[in-house]
Amino acid sequence: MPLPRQLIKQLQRIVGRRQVDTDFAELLVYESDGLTLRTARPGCVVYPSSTEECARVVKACHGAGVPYVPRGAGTGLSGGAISDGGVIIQLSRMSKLLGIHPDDRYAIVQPGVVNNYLNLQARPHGLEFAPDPSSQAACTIGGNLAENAGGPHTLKYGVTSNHILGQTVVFADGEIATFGGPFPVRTGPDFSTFLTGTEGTIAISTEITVRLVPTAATATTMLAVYPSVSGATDSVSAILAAGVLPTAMELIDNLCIQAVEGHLKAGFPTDAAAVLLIELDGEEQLMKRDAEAVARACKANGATDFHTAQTEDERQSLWRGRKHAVGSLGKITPAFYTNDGVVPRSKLTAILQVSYKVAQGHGIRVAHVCHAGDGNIHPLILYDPDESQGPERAMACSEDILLACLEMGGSLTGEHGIGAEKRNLLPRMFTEDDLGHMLRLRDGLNREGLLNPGKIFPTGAKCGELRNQPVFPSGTWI
Amino acid sequence: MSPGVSETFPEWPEPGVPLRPKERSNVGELIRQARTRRVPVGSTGSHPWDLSRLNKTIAFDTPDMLLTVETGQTLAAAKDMVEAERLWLPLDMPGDSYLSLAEYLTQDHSLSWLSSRYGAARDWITRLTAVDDEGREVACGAKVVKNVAGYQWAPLYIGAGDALGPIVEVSFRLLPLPTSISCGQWEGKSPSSLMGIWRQGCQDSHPTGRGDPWEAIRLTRHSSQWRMEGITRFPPDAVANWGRPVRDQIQEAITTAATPPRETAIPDFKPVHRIQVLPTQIAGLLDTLAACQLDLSCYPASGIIHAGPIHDDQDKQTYTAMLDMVIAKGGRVQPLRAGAHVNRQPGRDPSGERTIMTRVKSILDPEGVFGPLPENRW
Repeated sequence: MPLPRQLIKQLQRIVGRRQVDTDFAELLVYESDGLTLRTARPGCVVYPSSTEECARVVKACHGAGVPYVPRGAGTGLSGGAISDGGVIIQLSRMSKLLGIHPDDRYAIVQPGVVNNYLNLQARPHGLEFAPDPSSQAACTIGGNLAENAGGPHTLKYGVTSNHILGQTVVFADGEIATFGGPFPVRTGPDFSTFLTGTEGTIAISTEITVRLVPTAATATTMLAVYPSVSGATDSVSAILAAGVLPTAMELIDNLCIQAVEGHLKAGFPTDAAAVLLIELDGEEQLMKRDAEAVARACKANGATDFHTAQTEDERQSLWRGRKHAVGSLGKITPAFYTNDGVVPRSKLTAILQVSYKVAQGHGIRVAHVCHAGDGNIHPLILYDPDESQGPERAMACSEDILLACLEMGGSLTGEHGIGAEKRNLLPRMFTEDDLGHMLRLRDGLNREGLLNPGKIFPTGAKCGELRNQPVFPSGTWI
Repeated sequence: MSPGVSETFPEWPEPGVPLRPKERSNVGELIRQARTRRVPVGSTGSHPWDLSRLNKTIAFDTPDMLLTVETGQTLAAAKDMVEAERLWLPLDMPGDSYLSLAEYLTQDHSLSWLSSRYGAARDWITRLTAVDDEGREVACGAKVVKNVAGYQWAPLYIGAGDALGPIVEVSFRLLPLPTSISCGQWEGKSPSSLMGIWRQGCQDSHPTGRGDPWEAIRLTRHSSQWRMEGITRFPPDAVANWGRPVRDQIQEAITTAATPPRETAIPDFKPVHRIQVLPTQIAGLLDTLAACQLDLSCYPASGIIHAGPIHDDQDKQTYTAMLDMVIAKGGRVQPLRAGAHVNRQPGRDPSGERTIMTRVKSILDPEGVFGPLPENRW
């Protein structure tokens, strides 16, 4: 159903005629985020340039009873920024870096600032924003905040919520509020940290104060090569048991290695069942001791080759291989579905075995990249969209892997969020009372449910309704 | 059962008597009874919680580096347990041996000399279970080190003083226990010279001059004696060189320890205010405070000063003017004792936290089953 003409005119008055898109072709771009298996066409896209404009847009939508969804760069992988017939509030014009305060180690940004751009500006001061999702060349700080994004280096430095100090937000009724501030640690109840990871279902962040951390004085990257995946996963536990906390421990399996090497020659041996990319940073003397412990742990768990990058170029090449691992799959498959699950670290071997078996059962191939130190797996499910039931089989495979994560005491998502993708699996992870408590917060702070509806929680779930939710059969995606 | 301390409550106790449940299920029963009787419970209500009997270790998975405990357990006991397995929970507080995790979390004690490097308790909690206003256990998070499923509402409860409900179980992620720690202790006549060593350490330890070599750092003044204590993974010879030019008239002791020492309590120190400013403003503030006779504890990299009571009238004027100046410049002054001075304009809520938490309270506890939000958090 088209949006009310009066609302479109009102939005045009707020942000300017050219900053409201209703053109069919333009709207196609906004039909999905990085999860292309889920699509919905918005009624229009509006581009505010300030907190005040954003608040007026929200008030206009609220007044018209029309749902609205905040959106960053659209790199999210859980369908969190799609809208079926509503208004997309596209925050890309709000991309100013409002200030870097190197002595107090914080920066203030608008939500549309790209993660990499912030780092480019901070590094000359010897500082950086620690969360580094693989999409950091495109993804925005607002999106990082909404999803509580992680990345390879969160093993040591934590996820986005550990690096948000404060934010100005627009609530679902258009009210503007500011929480937190530039102080490096927080006292008392902390609404800003709570908002981080709520996937734009409670408020829209329009100004964000982020913590900056010193760039590593030195870093060393090591590559361990394994004839079996279990050797790599066992090494992860062994390294941590040796008292070493690497900044990153990334596992890449054979199918992914094939794709990477076919695409950009990062230096991964194509006959390996898996490689582990391990990075240490910090004081040189300590790093040397830790690197020796890492080498011992890897070799003791069957690494057939262990190599330390000798030059910065070589180090960057290895990381390029990891950062482009997912994109490289485009070389070997017409489509793939990126999944995100978490298990306790000690269950890594088991979950990867299950993942391969499940994919085999569905008759499709699966590749893996894992933030292995965090127990965070990304099964990459390869499918052919033109094949009969191709996407459906991919989604069913994904669900089976996620349910296996839950059976092993894990989580449905470590960094991609629930979005529209996994909302109906959430009751498998939490009790009715747990979900009821979360819904009390959502419904209390987003009363009409117009702000990013249909995300995180099962469709139609309201506080108290959850007990009557049907249990959807395996493979059902609504 | 202690006299007057209730368990399953055929008779409801007198106001002020703590509620001391024996089993987890008792917490919900007590809340339901309190609801029926319209008696607010919790530290700001008629009956504070004493959860000391709910102190089980639910799970300690050393390979997964996760600990799940009931919150009647003390922080010290939890730390002892993980350190015995060569793991580390990088949270601390001076004199933590007697405080239960429930008190530690809800009463806003989670800042320490480790905070500038390791953050506060909320940064280490992966799952939290509380009891809601209808007596149901509700949880958020997961027993894994990384998780973004559902709302992570734990940060709303930490520091909220039981006003949203008691916290009964918590899971922490852990780190490998650091080994070969260098411990420095410096004593001097003024805060500025000690701060110089801290700053030089940051500059000398990193090629960009913006390092942060300290695992923990604290500057104290007790009985007019200024002292700085810090721990770092850098070797003792490196530490000995930091700030060499500013070390005149400073006594120093640099030692090594096999594991990180814990923050010690300052004898008889009962701070009246928590002052929070930016790290670059700390030195100026300490210089002002140096003119007053009072004890203090400062975490310089966190921009936090805990300041003790002041007795001299002239010092009081200087101190009060300084507090007002901190507030005027956007800093925070949090009273830690009833009656402590804060020049707060009525209704002023610069950070917006009080307003939003009042709204959260009305959502999660509309009938006031729990006591009101503590006044001194903002």
